[in-house]
Amino acid sequence: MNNLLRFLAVQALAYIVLPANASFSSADAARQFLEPHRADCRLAGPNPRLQYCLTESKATIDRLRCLQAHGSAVVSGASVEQRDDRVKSAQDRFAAGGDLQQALLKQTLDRVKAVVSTSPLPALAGVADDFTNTLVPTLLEASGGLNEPQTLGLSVVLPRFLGLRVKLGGYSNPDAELNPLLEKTLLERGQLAGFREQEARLDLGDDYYLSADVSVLGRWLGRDPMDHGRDQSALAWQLMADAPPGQDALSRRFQEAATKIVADAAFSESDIAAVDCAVYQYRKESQQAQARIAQSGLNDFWRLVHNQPQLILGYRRLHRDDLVGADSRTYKIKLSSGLFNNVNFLRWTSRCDKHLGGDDCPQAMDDMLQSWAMRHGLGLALYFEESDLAILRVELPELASAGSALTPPLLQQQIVGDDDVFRLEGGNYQRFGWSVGTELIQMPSSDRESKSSLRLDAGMDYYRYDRDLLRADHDVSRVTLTYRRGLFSFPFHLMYRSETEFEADLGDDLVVGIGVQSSFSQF
Amino acid sequence: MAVYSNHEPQKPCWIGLNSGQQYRLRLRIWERRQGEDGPTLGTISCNEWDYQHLIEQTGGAAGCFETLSLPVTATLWCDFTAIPASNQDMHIEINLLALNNHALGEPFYEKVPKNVSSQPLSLMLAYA
Repeated sequence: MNNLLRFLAVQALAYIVLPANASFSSADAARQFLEPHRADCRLAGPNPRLQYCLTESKATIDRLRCLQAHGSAVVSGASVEQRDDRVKSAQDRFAAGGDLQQALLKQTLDRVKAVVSTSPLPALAGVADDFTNTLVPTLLEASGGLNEPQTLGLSVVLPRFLGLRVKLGGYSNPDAELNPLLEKTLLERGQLAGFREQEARLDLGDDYYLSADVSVLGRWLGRDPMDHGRDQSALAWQLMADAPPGQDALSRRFQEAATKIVADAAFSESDIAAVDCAVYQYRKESQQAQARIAQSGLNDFWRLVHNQPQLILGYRRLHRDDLVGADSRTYKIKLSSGLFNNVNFLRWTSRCDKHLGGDDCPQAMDDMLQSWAMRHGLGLALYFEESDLAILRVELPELASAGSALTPPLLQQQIVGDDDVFRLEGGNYQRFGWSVGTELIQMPSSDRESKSSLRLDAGMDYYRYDRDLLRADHDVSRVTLTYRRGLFSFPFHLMYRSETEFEADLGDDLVVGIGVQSSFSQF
Repeated sequence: MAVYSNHEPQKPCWIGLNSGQQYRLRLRIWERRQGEDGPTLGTISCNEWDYQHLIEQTGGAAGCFETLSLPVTATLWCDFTAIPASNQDMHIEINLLALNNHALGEPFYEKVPKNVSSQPLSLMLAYA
């Protein structure tokens, strides 16, 4: 009973006294937190600089600055020694080489090279559409279809709105030509030479199109960094912290305990040693965390984002002079994605959860960044396009002699008829296509970046027509080799067509093209 | 005593915060592409869990493009770790604001080069 009364009396006294002395209680708790860890520090004694500084400083603020400036001299001292060793070692190497100036020149050139060669190349140049967040127009960009490599144009990406990003573009063919069917008809009628002059007068306004593309953005689709920053930050926490989400890291709690002791005026030599120990632990853990980050691929996480799937809905309005071809409206849906090299694939691995959590997820990310599919930018695109073509009508000169009409050529009989008007019914078509691409070579490459590359893309399109029997279903196979250097790409197209849109049989089933394109916004 | 800043490279520092008064840190992070600022593809993390949680909630470093507000209620010394994307430098600006949005002391600014794997920023906020 006496013991119980004594216990209650102590509790009551503590209840009265402690609130008035709360700061002491807080610092005392900090001491208790730090003491068990002192042995880890292997310090010979209190850091003399910290001891002097803390003793001389009266204000809490000054003591905190002491802690920041002089705390843990053992660690910072070692850092200074290591740095001195590195400097000395470098000087020795230069001296051994016998030419210090040459070594310094090499160092300077290496630095210049590092600056010049740090223009990274997007991994999916040939497959992914560029919807980067910028208002700067992309100039000289080739059109979406690789079977139209000759177009030049300009596109502008508008700011994100309701999870969508819109790209408006205008493209034109600077070298518009006669419609192949019209050309053949004129050839049969012996009137082609007269139309060559009109063909030469065709300019940019006679074969152009306007386009609007909408990219869907989110965590699973699209390449907007805004959608991936959260997972990225969580991934960084896993690399840095020794505590699970929801808790402060141990180093942070060490530092907090040290701060509380320093804020308390009554500290002993033992307290100073504990504070120094805390700062030592804090900095050691911080250095280890920085080392883990340096070894991880977090700096290259953006490459995974860059390879995310893109879903694009597009509309294209084609305007052409009747000599060139029919106007058309085209609706398109396209899905392009990196294969085994994007954030989604990382989420789908057993080593990560859908928020990129999991102890092994940082390593899984690193493995993916080092994988063949990432290094070679393996990617796939699938698309479907529906288009309707307008009626085409061109008035032709009357035939010079009635003799040729006695045996009218096939095309003239079918298309021109008796009224000397070239008329082509409109038609609808569907286009199904796919494309797979990979980077063959990167050259020359530094550790993580390269400034030029050679890329191979291959694909097939199938065109199916209805409404006009004259138009022939056909397929197009193509291989594109793209050399990229700096801002510019130089695609070399090799294309095989089983037939053209019309059964013109002009002997152009194999087409070769060379182009140039650039997308400054990728940099 | 007025609040004042005493920044050093990689060490944003505000001193003399008034006891019992709350403040806000305003964090803004961006990249510069073709002369225009945009969200970064880099990463930021903080060993103060409350701050880390707010960073994640706002969308990580990319979300900090629109600025992130962090509450300040007590003396604090913590580390932010900035991890730039390897293709762009990362720019970080930190302001200390009173609750009436008045900026106190000088803003802190740091550019983290793209060839740096990570850059710790030791933040110190000291109440008087």
